[in-house]
Amino acid sequence: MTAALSLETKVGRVTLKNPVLVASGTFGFAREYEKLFPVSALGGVMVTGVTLEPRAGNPPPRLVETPAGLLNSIGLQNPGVHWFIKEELPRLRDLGTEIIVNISGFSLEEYGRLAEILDREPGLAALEVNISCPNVKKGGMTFGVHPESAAAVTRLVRQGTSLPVWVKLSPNVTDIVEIAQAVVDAGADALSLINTLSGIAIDPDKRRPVLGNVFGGLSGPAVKPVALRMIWQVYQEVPVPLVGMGGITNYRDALEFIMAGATAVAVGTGLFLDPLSPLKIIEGLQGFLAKHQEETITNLIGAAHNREESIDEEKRE
Amino acid sequence: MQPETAGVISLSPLGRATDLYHLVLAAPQIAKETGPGQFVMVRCTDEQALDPLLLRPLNVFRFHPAEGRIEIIFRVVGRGTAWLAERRPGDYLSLLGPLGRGFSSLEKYRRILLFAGGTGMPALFSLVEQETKTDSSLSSSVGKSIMGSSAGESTGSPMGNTMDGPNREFTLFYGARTKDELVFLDLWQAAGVTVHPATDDGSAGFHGTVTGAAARFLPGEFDFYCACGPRPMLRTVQEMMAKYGIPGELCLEEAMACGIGACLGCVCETVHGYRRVCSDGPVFPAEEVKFS
Repeated sequence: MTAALSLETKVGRVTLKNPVLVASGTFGFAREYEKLFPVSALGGVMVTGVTLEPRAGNPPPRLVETPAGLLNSIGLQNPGVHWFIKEELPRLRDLGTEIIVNISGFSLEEYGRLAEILDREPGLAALEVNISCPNVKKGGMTFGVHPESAAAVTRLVRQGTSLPVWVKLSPNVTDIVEIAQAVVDAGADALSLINTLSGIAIDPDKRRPVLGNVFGGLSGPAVKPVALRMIWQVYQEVPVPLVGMGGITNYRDALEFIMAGATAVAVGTGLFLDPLSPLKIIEGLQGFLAKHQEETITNLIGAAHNREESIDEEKRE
Repeated sequence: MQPETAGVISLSPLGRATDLYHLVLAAPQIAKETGPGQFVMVRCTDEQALDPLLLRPLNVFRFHPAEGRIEIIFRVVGRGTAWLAERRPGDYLSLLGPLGRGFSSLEKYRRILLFAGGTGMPALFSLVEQETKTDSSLSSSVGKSIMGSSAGESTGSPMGNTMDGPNREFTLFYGARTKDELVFLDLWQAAGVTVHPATDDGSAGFHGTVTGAAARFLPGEFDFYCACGPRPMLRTVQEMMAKYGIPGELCLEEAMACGIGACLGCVCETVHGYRRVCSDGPVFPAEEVKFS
C-alpha cells in the first residue's frame, strides 16, 4: 500500500476529503450522530432540510418499513432558517467537515430568499436545493417534476447566492435527463440524486393508508437500482459533478454509484441499519484503492461507462 | 449511548401459548449506562442482509451493571421479532443503546400506581427494581417495609433487594390478553409490589382492562402514577387519572428508524407540538401527551 492513496474528490469548487457524505433528512443537524462517531471523518454533512418559516411536519405515523426499504413522510419538520443560523450553524461550522445546507421553499420567492439569507453566512460549502420532497402538498416535488419550474427555482437560488448550488432531483419523473439538463442550464453547479420515490402503504385491517400523510417517500436498498440507473443516465448526458444517493449501505454500493458517474455519495437510510456505516464505507473505499492499486478515487468516477477497459475476472474482488 | 455487540446468554419463550420471549444479553457498556424506562435498538437481521431493514426498539426489563447484563422481554409481532426469537445462546446481536429519556425519580412520592399493558410491563419493572434497590447513600437504619405481600421481605427476595425507605408503596395493575401472558408475577411480588392482574378473557384477575380493575381503588391516596402499554390503554389511563388529579408519566411505544432523535420519524403529539418518542421520550409527563 502506498502513502499516496487519495479519497479526496471535488464536487465542482467544493473539495471533499473523501467522497462519503450523509444525506439530508437522516442526520438532523449532526447533534445526535456526533455522540456516536467523529463527524469530522466524513466528507461532508448535508443537513436536514431548512425552510423560511419553522415547520411542524406531518401528522404521525410517519414511518413504514417496506421490504429492504423505508417509507417516510416527515414533511420537512424543521425550526426554520433563522433558528438554524442562530442555534445550529455555529456548532456545525466547527465540526471539521463540509456543511451543505438543504433548502426547501413553498414558492419560488422562498427559495430565492433562503439563498440570500444563507449567502451571508460563513462556513457553508454549498446549498443543496430540494425541489424533490414528495411529502409536502405545496412546493417541494411539484417544482422538481417539470423542467421549467425546476429551472426557475435554480435560477433564483443562483441569483441569490455565490455559494455553490447543488440541486437535488426527484426520481418521480419521466425523463431525469431533461430535468437535470434544465437545472444545469439554469446555473446548478452539481446535482444530487436521487430523493425518495413517492409511495404509499395500506393497513388492510384498518382499510386505511398507514401514513398520516397518506403519501411517503421510499428510501433504502430497495431503491438502489433506480438511483444507479438515473446517475448513469445523467452522467452520460449532463456535464456536472453528481452526488449519488439511494440505498447505499456499504462500500461496494458506494463504488457502484461512483463507477456509474457519481463524484461523491451520500449515506441516508443506511445510517439506520448501522450508524457507523459511513465510516466503514470510507475504510472500505480506502481498502479497495489499495487492493486495486488505484492512486485516487477520482480515477473510478464513471469507470463503468468505459467499455474498452473491462477488468478481467481475477482482478475482481 | 453507543453501538455494542451483545452476546446472547439465554433466550426462552415465556409460558405456554404466548408469543412472549425473555432474552438475556451480555452487554456490559449498555448495562452500565441504562436507567429505568430506557430502551435499546436491536438489529434483527442476519449479517450482510438488508431485510428487515430497521433496528427494533425494545425496552429494557432489567439491567445488571455489575454483571454486565441486560434482560429484555419482547413479543413476536413481525419479521424482525420472529428472527430475534430464533437466536440461540452464543449468538451475537448488534445493539445501540441505552436510548431515550426514561422515568423520573420517584423519590418524592409515597404511594405510586403502575399500569402495565402487555409488553409495557418490562419498562415499569425496570423502574420498580431501580427504585427499590438498596442505595448506600440513602440506606440507613430505617425499617424495611413489606409491601402488599410477605414476599416483599428483603431477605427473602430472589433479587436481594431491599426497599429504600419505609414509606414507598407500589400498586400495579397489570393487563394482558390472557393468564399465560401475565409474566414474572413472582418478581413483582418479590419487589414488594401489590399486583392486581386483569385479563381480556377473564382467565386471571379482573375480567377487563387495567382501568376497569383500578376503578374501585380510586381515587385512594395515590400521589403519582406510571404507565406503559398500548396506546388505547394509555389514553384511558391518562383520562382516568386526570379526573382524579393524580400526576404521572407515560412511556410510549412507536416505530422508529434512527432511534436517537435525528430522523424525526417517531414523533407523537404533545401540548408542545410534535416530540420525538425516541429521544424526547419514550417517557413523557402524562399531561403533555395528546392522543388524537
